[in-house]
Amino acid sequence: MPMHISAACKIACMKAMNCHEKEHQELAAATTSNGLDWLEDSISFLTADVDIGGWWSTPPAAQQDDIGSVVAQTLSPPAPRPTTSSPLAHASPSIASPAVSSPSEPSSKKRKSPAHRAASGGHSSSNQRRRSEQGRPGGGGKKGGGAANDRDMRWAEQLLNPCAAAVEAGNLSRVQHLFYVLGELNSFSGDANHRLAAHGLRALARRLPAAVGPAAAAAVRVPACECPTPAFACAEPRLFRASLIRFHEVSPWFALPNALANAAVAQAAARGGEPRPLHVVDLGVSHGVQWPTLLESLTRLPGGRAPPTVRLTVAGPTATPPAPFSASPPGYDFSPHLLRYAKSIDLQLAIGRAASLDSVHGFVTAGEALVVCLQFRLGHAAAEERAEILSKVRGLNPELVVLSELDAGGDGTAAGEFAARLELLWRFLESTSAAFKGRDAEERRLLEAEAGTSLSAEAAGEGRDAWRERMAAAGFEEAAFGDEAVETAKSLLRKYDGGWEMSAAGAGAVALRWKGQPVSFCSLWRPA
Amino acid sequence: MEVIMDDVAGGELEISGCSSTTTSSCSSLDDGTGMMYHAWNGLSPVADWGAFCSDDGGQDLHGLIESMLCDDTLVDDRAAPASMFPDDGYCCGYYNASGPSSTTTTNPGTPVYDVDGQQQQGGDCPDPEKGLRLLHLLMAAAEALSGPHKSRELARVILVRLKEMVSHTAGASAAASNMERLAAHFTDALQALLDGSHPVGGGGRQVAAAASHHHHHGQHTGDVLTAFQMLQDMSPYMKFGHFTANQAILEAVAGDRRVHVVDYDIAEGVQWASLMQAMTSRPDGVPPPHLRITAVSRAGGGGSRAAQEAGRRLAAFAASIGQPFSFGQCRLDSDEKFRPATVRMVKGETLVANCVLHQAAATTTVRRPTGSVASFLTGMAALGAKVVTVVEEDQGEPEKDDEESGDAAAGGFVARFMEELHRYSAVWDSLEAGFPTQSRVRGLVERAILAPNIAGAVSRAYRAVGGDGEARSGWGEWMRGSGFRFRAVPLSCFNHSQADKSVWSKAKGEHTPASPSGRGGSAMCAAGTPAAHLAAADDSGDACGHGGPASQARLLLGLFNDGYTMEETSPNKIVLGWKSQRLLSASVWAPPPMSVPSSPPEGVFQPVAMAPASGGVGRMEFDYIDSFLVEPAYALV
Repeated sequence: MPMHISAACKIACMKAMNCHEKEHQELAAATTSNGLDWLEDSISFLTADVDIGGWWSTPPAAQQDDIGSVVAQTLSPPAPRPTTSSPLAHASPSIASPAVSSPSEPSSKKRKSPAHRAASGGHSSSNQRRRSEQGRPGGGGKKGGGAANDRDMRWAEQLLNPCAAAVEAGNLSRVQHLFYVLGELNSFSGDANHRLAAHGLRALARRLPAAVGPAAAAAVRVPACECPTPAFACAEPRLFRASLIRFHEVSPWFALPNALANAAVAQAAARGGEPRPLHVVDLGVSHGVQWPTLLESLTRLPGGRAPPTVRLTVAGPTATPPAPFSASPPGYDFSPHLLRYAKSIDLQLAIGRAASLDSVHGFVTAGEALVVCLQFRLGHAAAEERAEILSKVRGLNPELVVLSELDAGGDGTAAGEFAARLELLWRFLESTSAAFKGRDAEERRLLEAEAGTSLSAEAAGEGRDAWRERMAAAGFEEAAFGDEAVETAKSLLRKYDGGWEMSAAGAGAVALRWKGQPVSFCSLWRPA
Repeated sequence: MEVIMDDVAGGELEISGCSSTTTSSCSSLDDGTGMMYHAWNGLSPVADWGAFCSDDGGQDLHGLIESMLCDDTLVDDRAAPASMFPDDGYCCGYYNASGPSSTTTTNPGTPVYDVDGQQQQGGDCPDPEKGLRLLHLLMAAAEALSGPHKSRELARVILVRLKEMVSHTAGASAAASNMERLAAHFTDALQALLDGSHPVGGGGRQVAAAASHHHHHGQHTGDVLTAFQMLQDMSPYMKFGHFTANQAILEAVAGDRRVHVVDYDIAEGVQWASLMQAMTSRPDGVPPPHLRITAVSRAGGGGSRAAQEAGRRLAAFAASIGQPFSFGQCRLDSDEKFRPATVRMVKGETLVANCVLHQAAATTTVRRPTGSVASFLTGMAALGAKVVTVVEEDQGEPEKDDEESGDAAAGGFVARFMEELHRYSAVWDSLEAGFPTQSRVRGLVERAILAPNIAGAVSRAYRAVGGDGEARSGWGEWMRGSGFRFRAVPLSCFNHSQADKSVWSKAKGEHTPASPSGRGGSAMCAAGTPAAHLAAADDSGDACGHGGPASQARLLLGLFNDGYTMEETSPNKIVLGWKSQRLLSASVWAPPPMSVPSSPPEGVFQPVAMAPASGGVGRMEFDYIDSFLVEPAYALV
C-alpha cells in the first residue's frame, strides 16, 4: 500500500516539476517583455533596457560620486506629456484583482494546487522531499477571521519559537531535538512553512553560540541549513536588479510605501508659490527603483510647478551589518539609468551620495524643498542610533519626512523579538508565495534570502505607536497623507494579491496589512 | 503461503536450538539452587544493564532510543542535568525517575550516539544517524498531537516526512533497518490518531479494526496464526503471561475438582492448552479436575466466532490428552461492559478470572474500551472469583510527574508514547537477538502481530491522557486502589534456599521423564516433579515451592536469549523485561469475598487462603502448543 502511495507521489512530483518549468519559462518571458506594465511607458527605459546588460554596459562617468557631485544635468524643457492620470492609478486590466479588503479566492486556490514540489536545493540530503503546499481553508480570511486556524497552519513557528526559547534558556537537549525536527522539515524552496523553517533554523543555528557559549554550541549537531542563495550583498548584480523590479511588480511590500512616499513628495514639491528645487534624501532600501515614478509624476505637476532641478542624495549604509534589503552587490549602480531616464523626460536631475547624514548637512542649500525619506532602514538600527539619526534629520530642518517602517515589535526578550520577526517573515514568505504564484523563482529566492537575514537582526523592532513617540520626541509632528495619495495607493494595491489590504493607521498614516495582519506603515512628519 | 509454511519449518530448527539451551538449564537445575541464584544475579536489571552498556550497547536499537531520550550526555560541560531541562520533564525526567537507566545514561561511556556523529551502531542500521532523525520526528509528532500547543497541521507535516523516510520499508524489505521498521509502525499509529481513528467514546477501535481485519480476511488468518506461533517460538513474550497466570491458577485451585475459568480475551486459546497440559500431567497421578472455560466475547462481530473456534480447538485438544473439559461463551453488553449474570455458574466450581491484556491484537477477540476491563474485574469479584490473574504491559512505577499540572497532559502522552517506543524497541531487539537471521519471519511477526499491538498501545496512551483511560500504573494498581480493594496474592517464591535444597534433593530421584516427544521436555519436567514434596512443604508452612510462578517464568526465560530478565517488583507481580526495559507484567489478585454477588460491600476483606504449593507445570515443552496452533493454521490455509 505505501508503495503505491510513494509511486503516486513520484508522479505528482514529476508533474509538479513539469508545471514548474513551464511556469518558469512564462515568468522569464514576462520579465523580458512587458512585465513592467504597471510603470507603463513612463519609465519605458526600464522596459527597453531589460536586456539587463544595458544597466551595466555603460560605465557611469562618476563611479565614485560623492557629496554634491552632479552626475548629469538635463536642462531641456519638459516635453508635453500625454495627460493621463497618475501612473499609480494604472491598474493593469490584465491582472484583475478583487477589491482590496476581500481575499482573492482564485489566488489562494492556486497556492493550494501544487501539491508536491521537489526540493531542488542542493542542501537537501534526501533528494525528493514532498512539500505539500498547505491547504488553506477559508483563503486569506478577513481580518482576524479564522485566525486560530491560520495559526495552526503555520506549523514552522510552532517549532521555531520553542526552539528559540530553548536556545535562550540554554536547554541544549531541547534545542537538539528541535534542530533534528527542523532539519527534516526545512527547505529553502518548499512552501512558506518549509522556507520559514529553513530561514529560522539557520538564524537559530547562528544565534546558538552567542546564547549558550561556543563550547556548548559545538556539542549540538546542526543540520545542514545554509541558504543556497546569497543575500543582496553577494548577489549577481543583474539578478539583483531584475529581482528588485520584479518584486515591485508583484508585491506591494515595498512598492506601496514607495508609491505613497512619492505621492507625498510630489505634493510637497508642488507647495509654495514658485517652483522650487527639490532635494530628496534617500535613506531607504529601494536601490533606485522608487524614483522613476517620482520623477515622472513631478513632470506632470499642474501649473508648471515642476521643480526646476531635482537633487537625490542617497545616504550610505547606517548599520553594520547592513539592514535587510539595504545592501547591494558591488557593481550595482542605478545612477546612470536614472539620469538617462530623467533626461528622457526632460527633468534636471543630480544624484549624489552621502556617506552619512552629517555629510548631507553640508549639501543642503537654501530655497530648496528638502524631503527626507526614511524607509525600512531606521528600524534595524539600535535604539540610540535611531534617536541620533532622527535628531540629525531634524537638524536638516526638512520640509517633510517620510517614515516607512515595519510594524512589528516584540516583547523585549530575545525569544519574543525572534517570534515577532518570525511572524513578519512568515508574512513575507507567504506573500511572496502568492506574488510569484507559488513558483520557486530565482528572484524570489534572492529576495527571501535577504528577508531571512532579518531574523538575525540585533535591534528590537518597534510598532507603529513606538515610532510615533520616537518621532515626537525628536521634534516632529505628524502630517496626513492627502486623499489623492491614498486613492492612488489604493488603486495600486488592487493589482496585487487579494491578501493585501491598506488601512488608516491613525493621524493620517497608512498601514499595509497581509491577511489582516500588520506589515508596515507609512507616515509623514514635519518639524514641530 | 508455501513460503510461510517453510518458515514454520524453520521454526522447527529453532526449537531444536531451544532444546540445547534447555539442556544447559537442566544442568543448572541439577546443580541445585546455587545455580538458580547465579541465574538470578545474571538477570538482575542492574547487572544486566552493565553488561548491556559495556558489551553490546552499541548494537542496540533500544540503546539508541535510550541515548536519544537522555542525550544530556551532550551537555556534560554544563551544570547539573536537572537544571538543564526545566521544561523537559517528559523527555528526560521520566527516565531519570525510572531507575536503572537514569544511573547509566549519565555515564559517558554509555551513549550509542556520540556528539560528533561517530556512530558505533553495528551493521543493523545502514545509516544510524537516520535512526535518531526518525526518533526525533516521532517524538515531535507525538508532541504535536498533544498538549496545550497541539497542532494537527504540524503533526501532519511531520508524519508526511516520516513516511517518506520509511517508505521503502513497506515491503518489509531486508534493506530496512530495525529502526526504520519500528518507526514505520509508530508512524502509522500516529497517523491513525491524526486521522481520527482515535475513537471519541469507545476505545480500542484500532485494535479491533486490525483484529477484525485479520479475522475477516481469510488470506490473512493463516498469516496471523503463523506469526503468532513464530512469536511464541521467538520470544517468551506470550508464554510468560500464560505460564505465570496458569501457575497462579494451578496453585489457587489445587485440590479442587471443578475449575471454571472466565477468560476476558481468549484469543487463540493457547493459554488453556498449556493449562490442560499441566493438569493432566501431574506426576502424583491425581486425575485432572474438570475444566470449564467461559470465553468473554463482544456482542456481535467476529469475536464470538473466533472464540468459538478457539473453543473447538481446545475441546479437541482436551479430548486428545484426556482432560475433562467444557467450553462456553458470554457476551459483553453493547457498551462493552461485562455483566456477571451472563456467566453460567455451576455450583461447586472454583471460579477463576483471567485477564490477559495487550496480547497480540491480531488475535484478540474482544474490544477493550474504557470501562470494559474494569467491569470485568469488578464483575468477577462480584461472582466470587477465587483468584484474578492479570497480564498486561508493564506501566512502570507510578510516576511523580503526574502531579505537575498544566503541561502534564502534553508530557503525559509524549512520555507514554516514548515509553511504548522504548518498550517496542526492546521487543524488536529481543526478536532480532534471538533470531538474527530470520528477518522474513520477524517481518511477518512485526506486521501481523506487533504492528496492530503498537497501534493499540499508542491509541491507549492517547486516550489515557484524556483522563478516562485506565490508570497509568496499570490494572494491577487500579485493583489495589479502587473501591474494590483487591488483595495482592503473593506469588510463591523459590528463593528460600534451604527449603529449596531439601525439596530438590528429595525430588531428584523421583524424576520421571514425562515428555513423550523428548524435545525440550526432559529439562523442564524437573520443575514439576517435586509437586508431592511441595504438598508436604505446604503442610509444614513453607510458602515456597519450585513450581511457583516466578520460578516457572525464570525457567521459561532460560529457553530464550540471555537478554530477557525477570523481576519481582512486588510479592504478587513479576515483570518480564528485555535488558533494562520492562515489557510485560503478570500479577495475581484475590477479590474480597462477596456474601452476595451483587454490589460489593466495602471494607469487608477476608484474606483468601491460598495454597502456595501447586501441582506444578509438569512439562514446559512447546511442541504441543505448536501442534495446537499449527493444526488450524494448516486447516485454514
